[in-house]
Amino acid sequence: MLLPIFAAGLNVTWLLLPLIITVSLVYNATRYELPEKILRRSLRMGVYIFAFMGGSMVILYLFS
Amino acid sequence: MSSSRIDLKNPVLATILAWLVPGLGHAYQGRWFKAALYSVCIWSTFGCGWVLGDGKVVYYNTDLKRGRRPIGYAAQVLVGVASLPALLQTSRATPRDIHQFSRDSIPLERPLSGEFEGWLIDAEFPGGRGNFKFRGQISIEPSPDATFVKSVTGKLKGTISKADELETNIPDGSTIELTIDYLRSLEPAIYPSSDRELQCEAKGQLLGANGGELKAGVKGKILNVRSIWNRYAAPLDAEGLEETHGDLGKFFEIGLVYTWIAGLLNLLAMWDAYEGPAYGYGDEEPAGPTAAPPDVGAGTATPESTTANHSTDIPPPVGEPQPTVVPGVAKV
Repeated sequence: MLLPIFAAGLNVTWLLLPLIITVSLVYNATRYELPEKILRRSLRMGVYIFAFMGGSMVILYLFS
Repeated sequence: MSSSRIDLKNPVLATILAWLVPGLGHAYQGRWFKAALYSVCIWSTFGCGWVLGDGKVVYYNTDLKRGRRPIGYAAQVLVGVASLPALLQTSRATPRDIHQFSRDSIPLERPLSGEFEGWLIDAEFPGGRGNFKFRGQISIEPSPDATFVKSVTGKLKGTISKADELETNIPDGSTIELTIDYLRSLEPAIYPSSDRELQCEAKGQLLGANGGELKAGVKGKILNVRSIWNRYAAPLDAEGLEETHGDLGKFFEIGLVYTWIAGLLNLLAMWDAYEGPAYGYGDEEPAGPTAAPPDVGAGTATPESTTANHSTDIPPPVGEPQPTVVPGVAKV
């Protein structure tokens, strides 16, 4: 089995983190050409997504 | 948006290259930063999905009778060379391999041999009956005088250990030598695993001081018997799909989603290779309106309304109506 040992005991929520990073980087790379601009906008987008997802999780947790 | 500052070279060729190998289209255009970024992001996402799904998440399997459609593969195929072999593997596998729920009638297509790990189930031995773990060597081949697909000839030799609390005087590590003559079930030849599962009937000898006749059902897997040619992006049969869901649980689904997202991200990258960045180079001065003077009008700061406000600095010619600015409504 290829599944790494660390992943077996991992909270799957953390698996969203690499997706946030790659999605924000690739999306902004399709918007701009300058590396600095891409990285800056990606960071901002990543923080927004993370905050939105985190906020949603907190709200769902409070209602659960 | 196509920018004159970026040399897209041959955009169609770049798009095809970007599809086949994420990052290659941009490398062809000399856009090295983007080539590296797309390559790392898309390949790592696809690779993570592959690992999380134990190498079983990329396959092309359509069975319209059972209501399965390869929608997920439509996203995966956007990663190009990593997922295209799935089409070849599906064409190599027989329809029986893919669509049949049971593996009971899959024939042994060629001789197999190797290390075997599994169980002797419901074994009848001198003085009792029970289950044993088994590890040893197996060799099995289609029977030359077979009248139907279940007939095989083969040998199984190795050591056994008690699998449960058996009342027996057979010590762990006892050696057995069995003859296989009936194949109960067999995993498909083209399947995404290096090990190959089988079940068969065997009978023979328990060697040693407590020896005697032994008869058992055998269930287990021949280890590392499939080449990468027979397992990469191979289709899962219905039974394999159920087993994989059971073994991996949610990680199978997460692995699928990762590979889908990798494909969809590469679609964006392909469009970038064809058309260039959507919002321009990234260092352009913000075009459009400047802020309206605070003492002029109460209209919105749209380009047209701003122009209209600036135009109030110059009085209109005599006889022409004074332009009116309605707050909150842009001039049309």
